[in-house]
Amino acid sequence: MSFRNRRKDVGEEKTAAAAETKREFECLALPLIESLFNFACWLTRNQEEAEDLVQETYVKAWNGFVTFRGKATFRTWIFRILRNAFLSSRKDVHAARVESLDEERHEEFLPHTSETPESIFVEQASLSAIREAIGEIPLPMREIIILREVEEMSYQEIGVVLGIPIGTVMSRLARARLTLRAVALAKLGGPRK
Amino acid sequence: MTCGKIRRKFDQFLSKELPDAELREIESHLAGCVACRAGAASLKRWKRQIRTAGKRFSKKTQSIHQLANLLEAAGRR
Repeated sequence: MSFRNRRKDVGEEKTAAAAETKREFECLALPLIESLFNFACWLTRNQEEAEDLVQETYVKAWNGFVTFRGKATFRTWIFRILRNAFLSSRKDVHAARVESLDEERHEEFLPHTSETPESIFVEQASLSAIREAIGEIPLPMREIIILREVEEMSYQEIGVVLGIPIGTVMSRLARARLTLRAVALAKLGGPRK
Repeated sequence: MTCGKIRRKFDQFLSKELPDAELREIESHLAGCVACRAGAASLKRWKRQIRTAGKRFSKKTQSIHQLANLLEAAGRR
């Protein structure tokens, strides 16, 4: 085989490998577009900004795909990229988060309260009241609620996305649920705890 | 486990994120404790409502093609 032909073969192999990597990336990434967009909308509370954030996330993920080793699942990896991109775009949000994390270190886990007339009342709340309430609770609570209840991530996966230990996932989640319930109740004119 | 400890594990119990031994212990507790059983059922309903409410924003299929083009461009750089 001549030198020229060998070089042509190597070039073709490289092109085929690149196409395969791209296909692999698209198979993993594109099915997550709805979930990422929903998460981005809840973070930014602005659909246009969310659209940009998702695009930025995909470009970052694609550029960093060679470094993805499957240590985390692809889903947690790309959610983490999106969240970090969001935090980088909002320095004020980042500062607020540091304060809230400081408070959390000293907090005991909050118990889940059992069924009471009040909780039944919240369970009957309209979806729009719950949606409004999700939008109004502080960002660290909102993001953990979406990751857990909508994305159905495990505590461990949430820990990876948010970069926090499992104990903090548990306490923040418990506090987020109580706050969400209180805000939803207030919207329905019920007692606020 | 006490009722308080059981209730703190309801969420992980519902998603079966606990070791088998703990899952069995909670199941056995729920079988005999009306209050905890009601609490678990309440959390399950509340979680379902949040899930429905939280799936709010939807992206158009067209955006997938836009993204594919974007990746194509990023790949060429």
